[in-house]
Amino acid sequence: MIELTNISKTFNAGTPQEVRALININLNISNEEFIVIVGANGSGKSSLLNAIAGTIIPDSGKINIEGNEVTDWKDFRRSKWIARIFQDPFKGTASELSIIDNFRLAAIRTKRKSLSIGINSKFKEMVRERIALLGLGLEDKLEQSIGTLSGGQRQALTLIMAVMDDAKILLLDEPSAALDPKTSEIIMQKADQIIKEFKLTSILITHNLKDVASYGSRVILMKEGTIASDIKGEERSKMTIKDFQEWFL
Amino acid sequence: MNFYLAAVMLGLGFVALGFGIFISMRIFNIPDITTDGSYTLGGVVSAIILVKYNSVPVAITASIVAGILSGSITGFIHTKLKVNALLAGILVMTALYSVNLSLMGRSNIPLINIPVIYDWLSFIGDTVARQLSILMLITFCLILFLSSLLRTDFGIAMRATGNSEVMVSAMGIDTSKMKIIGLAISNGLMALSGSLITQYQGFADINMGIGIIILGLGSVMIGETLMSLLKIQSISGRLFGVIIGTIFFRLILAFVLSLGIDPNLLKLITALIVLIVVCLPNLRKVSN
Repeated sequence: MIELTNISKTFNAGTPQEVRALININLNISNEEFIVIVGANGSGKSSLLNAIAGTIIPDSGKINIEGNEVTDWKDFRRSKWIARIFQDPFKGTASELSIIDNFRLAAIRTKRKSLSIGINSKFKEMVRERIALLGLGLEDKLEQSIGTLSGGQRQALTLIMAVMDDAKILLLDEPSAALDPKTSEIIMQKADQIIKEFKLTSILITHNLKDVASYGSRVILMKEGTIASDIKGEERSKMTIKDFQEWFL
Repeated sequence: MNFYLAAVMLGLGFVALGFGIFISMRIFNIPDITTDGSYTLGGVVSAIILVKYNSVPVAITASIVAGILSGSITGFIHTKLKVNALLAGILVMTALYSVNLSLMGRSNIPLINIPVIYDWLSFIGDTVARQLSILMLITFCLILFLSSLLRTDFGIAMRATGNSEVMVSAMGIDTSKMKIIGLAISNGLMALSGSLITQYQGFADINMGIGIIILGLGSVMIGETLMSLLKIQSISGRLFGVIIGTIFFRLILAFVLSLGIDPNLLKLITALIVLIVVCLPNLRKVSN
């Protein structure tokens, strides 16, 4: 599904602020795998995710997605496979636009944005039904600007938006870090449910070790721009929260 | 009364400019000041074509195309050459001054005894009524065009681009391309305004664009303040606000002039009015 070969990325090369964010990363992600990435701040987690998303282009190495070499592709071109959830709920949605406008964009993520009006009663009904499943009472507020909602509500909506259009890959960058513990748990459960239901290949970055223990089929520990541990299969399922805690001691 | 009627008509001529500023500053959040140049360019191109070829449709079309071109150049410099939007606008605006001057070959072109758009609809005998009808017709077409455009899927993508660039890229939209298109449309509208005003006042002048951006910005903000008081948020409502704002601004200026103030101070007064409009919401917040 996703293949990273010898990926390196250095920021501010040749200056005193030089940061080697990714050093010779090799990573193979198979279909429907759910990877959880952990690591200290500055270990390269986000850089790795951004390299896959296309928001940073690596200095060297190759990236393949579904057999296509996408190394030089910018993020908007890779969006035909990739849906993303951001740490900041304000980034994943357009605040001044209404809920329905935001959902319309999500529904045509992989398609051409044409000069026809796509928001009709049928579309509204479909969005209403999907939002109603969240049980947050937002289905009657479709015309309200999304900026008036709380961070948790917005994050919940971005999860549904991610699967409004065909998605193969879901990238989640600390999706619940900005939320209170209870909302955070709801968002993580919802994300897990969507990942399973839509058979998505997913990568989650988190600092919450409880989430590391609860979710995903494979866990990767990053240290100083490299992959320090990569555990999957039976070995992964045997691990408990204590084992993960030891990584950070 | 005719004095205020003239202000209303001038206001209608500036509606396209107001829409242009609304698109660059409000929809795309780009402080584009190519305006002074592209507005004049619109006037200049129309005047030249009207004098040489006597064709109103060709003159207006050529003006819009010229505006689109100058907006695209600003957009290209900003997005592809990564120059700050403000600077990109200043660069193109400055360059356009020379372009306009060399196109005209002198500092102004009068349109004496040359048919202009306001000579259309000749079945309306009264000149003022005819001018007013034509300007209202154009305004109506513009609001219809823009409110439809902004509600399409493409229009939603436009609106989102100025709002959350990260989200928009994640939705498969090339934000650079989007901004270039946005600035192109915006400057096309400004050039249209330049053409309409040139035909209205009967001449194109190299200095006609000086400070015009403030006029447009002030109009947009007056309209916004009005619409927010009325709690209108829809796209067509906001566009309608721009129309009201533009006319209202011209009426204020007409009123100030009627008080007998030196016309040389017009730009100073314009700047002061915009300052008041900009500060009013902030002052209200402070006093609360």
